[in-house]
Amino acid sequence: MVEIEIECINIKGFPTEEVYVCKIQAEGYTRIIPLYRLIERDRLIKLDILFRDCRVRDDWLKIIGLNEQEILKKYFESEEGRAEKLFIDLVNAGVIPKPVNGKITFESRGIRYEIDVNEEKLFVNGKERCFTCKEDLPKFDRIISLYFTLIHSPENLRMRE
Amino acid sequence: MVWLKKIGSAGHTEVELPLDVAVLEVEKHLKLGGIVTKEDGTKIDLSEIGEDDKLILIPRIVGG
Repeated sequence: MVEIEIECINIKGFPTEEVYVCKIQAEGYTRIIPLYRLIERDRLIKLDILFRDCRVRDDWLKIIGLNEQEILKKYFESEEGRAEKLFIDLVNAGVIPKPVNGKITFESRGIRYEIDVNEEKLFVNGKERCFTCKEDLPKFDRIISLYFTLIHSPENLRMRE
Repeated sequence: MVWLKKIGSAGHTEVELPLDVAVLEVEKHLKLGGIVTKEDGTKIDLSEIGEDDKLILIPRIVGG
């Protein structure tokens, strides 16, 4: 049985929006499943009622009528889940270093890089740096793209003087 | 045939293309500042693409 937790979080936007996500401990990082994108609106309303009235989180799976495996199945069929599947495949193939405590650390051309998979942050020689992609990508596609950019085109992430 | 997996805002698109068409696609992608790697993560140049290659097209990431 997969240990799966539900959490209500705020997502960026105007106004900010409260949404439901699930958290599962994956191998070396925390998998965050956007439940609010995977299940139907009427089931989300049931969650709103549950959380407002009694906040007994143990019952939430029963309320939405899905089990852990069904949530995972829905997730890996989504764009976000497919991106994570590719990430896992690349890690298992030894192409991307395995995350440890939510972080991928590696050295390339004498520079030490750390990608925080959970927080989606980049550290270069210990200093936090920013990165962006013009395309609207799922989180794990951004992490895969960032990793390959650091390895093959680090000049794209050079700090301007 | 060359197998291309493109990471983009449209999700993961996978196509198998004849070598000459694949080279054109890769060239277009490189001109946009993207990266092209083999399945094992090694970078590949246009001139090195061969029949039966499996390539991943990665979008441009910038930062500072």
